[in-house]
Amino acid sequence: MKNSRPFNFLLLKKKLTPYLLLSPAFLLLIVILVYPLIYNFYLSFLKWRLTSPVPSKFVGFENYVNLFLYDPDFLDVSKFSLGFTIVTIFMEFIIGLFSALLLYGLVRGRRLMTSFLLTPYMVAPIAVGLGWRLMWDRDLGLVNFFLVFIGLDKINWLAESMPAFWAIVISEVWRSTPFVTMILLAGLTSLSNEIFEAAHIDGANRWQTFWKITFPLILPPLAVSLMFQTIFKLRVFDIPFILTEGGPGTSTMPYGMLIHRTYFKYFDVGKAAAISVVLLFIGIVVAMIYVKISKMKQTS
Amino acid sequence: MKSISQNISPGIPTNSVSKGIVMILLVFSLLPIIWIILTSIKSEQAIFSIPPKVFVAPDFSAYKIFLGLGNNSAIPFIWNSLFIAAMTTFLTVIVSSLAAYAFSRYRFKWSNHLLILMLATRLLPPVTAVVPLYLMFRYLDLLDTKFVLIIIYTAVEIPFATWLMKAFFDGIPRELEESAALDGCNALQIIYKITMPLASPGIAATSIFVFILAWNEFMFAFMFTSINVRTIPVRLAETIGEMQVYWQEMATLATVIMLPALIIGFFMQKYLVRAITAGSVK
Amino acid sequence: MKSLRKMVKLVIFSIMFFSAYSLTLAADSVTLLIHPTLYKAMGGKDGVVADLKKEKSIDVTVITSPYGNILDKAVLSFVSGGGEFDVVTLIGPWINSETTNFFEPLESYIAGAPAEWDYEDIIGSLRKVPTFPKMNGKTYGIPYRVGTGIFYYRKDLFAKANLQTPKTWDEFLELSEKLYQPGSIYGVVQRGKPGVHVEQDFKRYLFSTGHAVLSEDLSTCLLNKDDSIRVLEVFGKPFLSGWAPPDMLAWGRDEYRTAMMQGRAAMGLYFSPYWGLMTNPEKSKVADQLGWFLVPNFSGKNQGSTLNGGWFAVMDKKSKNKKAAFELMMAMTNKKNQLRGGLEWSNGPIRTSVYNDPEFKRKFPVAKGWLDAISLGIADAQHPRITQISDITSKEIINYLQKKKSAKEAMDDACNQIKPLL
Repeated sequence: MKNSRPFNFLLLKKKLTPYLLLSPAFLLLIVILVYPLIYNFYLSFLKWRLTSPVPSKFVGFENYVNLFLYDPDFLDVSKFSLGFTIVTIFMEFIIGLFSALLLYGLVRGRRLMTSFLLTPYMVAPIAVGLGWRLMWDRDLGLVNFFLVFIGLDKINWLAESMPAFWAIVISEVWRSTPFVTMILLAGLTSLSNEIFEAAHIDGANRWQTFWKITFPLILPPLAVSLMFQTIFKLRVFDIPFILTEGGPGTSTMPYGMLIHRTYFKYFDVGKAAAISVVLLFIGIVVAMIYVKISKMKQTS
Repeated sequence: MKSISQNISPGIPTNSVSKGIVMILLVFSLLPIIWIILTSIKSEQAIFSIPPKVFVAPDFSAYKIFLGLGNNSAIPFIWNSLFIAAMTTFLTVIVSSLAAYAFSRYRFKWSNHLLILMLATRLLPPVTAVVPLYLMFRYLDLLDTKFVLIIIYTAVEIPFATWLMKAFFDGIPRELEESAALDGCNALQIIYKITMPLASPGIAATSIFVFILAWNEFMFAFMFTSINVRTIPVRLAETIGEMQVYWQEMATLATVIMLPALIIGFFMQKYLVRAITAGSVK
Repeated sequence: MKSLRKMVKLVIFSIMFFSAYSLTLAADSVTLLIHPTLYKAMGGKDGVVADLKKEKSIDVTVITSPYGNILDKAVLSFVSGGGEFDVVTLIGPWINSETTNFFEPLESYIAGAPAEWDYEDIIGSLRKVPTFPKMNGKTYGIPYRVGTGIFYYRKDLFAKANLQTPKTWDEFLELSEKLYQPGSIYGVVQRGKPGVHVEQDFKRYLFSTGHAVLSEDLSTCLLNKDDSIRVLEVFGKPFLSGWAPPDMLAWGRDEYRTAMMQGRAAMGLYFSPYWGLMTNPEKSKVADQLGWFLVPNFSGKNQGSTLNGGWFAVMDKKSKNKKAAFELMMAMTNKKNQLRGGLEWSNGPIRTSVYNDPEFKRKFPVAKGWLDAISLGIADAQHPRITQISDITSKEIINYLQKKKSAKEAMDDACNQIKPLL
């Protein structure tokens, strides 16, 4: 890859070209998303109840202080959300990479297999939640039916903290691994074969070919897709909500549910805004890490 | 395309073990879906029987209701969703491909900052954007229109689509573009005639995701529309009733929702395959 | 290049074309935001709405919304002040000193209503809910649908073991132990899912003490009173002793309803309108085996006091067509439609006359018990922070059920967290 080489033949003609190309995207973003983003920062310094006739009041960092020091749920929610994000991303990476490589290696039936393996991502999240709830049910679920069939004990999947964590993780991994698979598959498919022919001539074995040549080439799209998956995971809502509603207790409550409930059930707009700002910063840190990783691999 | 010999593939084992793993993944992927489809043709008594029943006399009544033309038909909802998702995909791909091209091929002031800013907009949880956007569109009198959902979805998908397409564009060699530029093509011509066809697997993948995210979106659709433009996920959420989940209705709608996405996914894949041909010809 | 420009033009035009919308509404038209189940309970498109069009030529546009989101949508519209929905259905606790700022006071409409609509016929304990005598004496809502807590039980299992329905909580606990059959039948089923589930079920037990979570003036938390702690122990005992489902902490509405309907439960405390569903032989395996008894208490006298749950119709202050909006509210709650709703569309009627109607009694032998229970029932605290209070209560109940805290510790902690909110 020759990314470092300046691409200047168009630049000489028109210095404005990149900005022109960016303008439609940013125009939309500024109207629809940048404005709420700034508004949200502003809200996080206010005490404002959505339904209250009392006008909002500027309170400085009070919302943040309350959140970090006095909110008993925030710590639980952070623990679950971060744990859930790390575990699901790791599993999706491994399974996604494997399935993409296997699918790419298939000569016959590849198109059909790909379709089948990608199906879970097409199912609406609400339906995924409800469908898996039937699967995890203690008495009438397929999972326990299978466990009993092979001679194990039933597990209270959704009623105990640890099993509930894994039930949510597996349901989420089931739904969104195809996302990673698909992007890797697209990355693999757009590589040209000459590279591999060259490697083959050089006498590299399969393992070397993969780690030295293929992996660095598919890393940029992989990093982007994992980065976005991480962001989606941090604020996951539907599947935990339908499977456990955050239970038992608050042991499986993600940030997404906390924000929604603070905003639209408690009407505490300032605090909800503060939580989403915290989430924004976590997201930026995550993005920085992924950008670093993909740059590092490229230069090496 | 079958001429690619397995030896020079990118270093992937292709023995019977790997085929076995594919089969396991296949069962894992399909079993819950099959279960949802089976649920859609079961009466409630059968859904809740212990141990779980697989084969029952099929009951297609829910399909008749939703796919028929009566009062409870789901077809208007499907049409709304289809139109909105298709428009969103189209707009997003057009707008984002330009932006992605700019980020991928040009070095300009603030480029990295703009890329991060774009991402930052996506980091905001959508629920916090609901109130400001609602007030804005209320003021503009645009609530309850397809337009408002298309515009919001497009904006929400742009960061993701741009980042992803940039990653794919980065992987495409520039020699062809350079020679086209020497031939006197302008930037747009280069993007649409040369870069995009080469990046078609990536674009296909991106547009499938954009389509599915728009197709399944619930919150904005629920909050911003009332009468004219209800989408199918909103209808699906209504099967969670006050006292009970209407399981059969839910499963039927879930199956119906799955279908268009599946069909589109299946046909988009030909771009994934065609790219190999292009590669081998080149 | 040219083709691209054409394409962009086409897209813009088609968006404009397909997103064309109509804002102009006819003079007498109102919008109603309602839960889909409640819409079914007014006969859907062909029921009350069609009649209103025929009789008063009022067009009703109905917008349905699932339970978890109806408040979100209503509040968004109220806050934006657009008067998008003229009439909205809400549950009792959502009508409180804060939200009523958005509602139209209804006394003058009620006073001006025709005599045959008969406001006084609506059950008294329900009429009290949306009125605020202490705040400003105004009335903000009309009851539309009501249910209360009632124990349903398996007559056949009781008969086989020669058992009587309980009057006190001690008898109730004895029965749940006796009726429990390992592996096949749970003594009693309850919900343990966090949030509204476990909290609502617990409140159905708690209110048997004659008081709610908060005192009537909403100034004191009553969860740490001795009788509240005792009720929590009653509520927890079947689960902690293994007579209730071991995965109860994951049980919501569907799990505990189907457990009874599939014949896997001996007793359960349900929202009264479940009766129609549970005695439907197409859906329930035990349709003709069900009996009912009123919620027991500690003293064994005057049972039946429990949590009343009801839906109320309120009118947006910003409504542009208030007269027609009130016509709709009257149509939803008049004698004819309440009876029809109760008989045909499984609504929980809000009028005394419906429960005394011979046809209704014939269809629902349980009618007398319902009326008694509803009249004795206590409404949930209508505090602006009620949802937050509920979530705190739910969390502490589950702490007790998970044996992380004793009943007293859990209830003390709950009150400590609730106090600053009052």
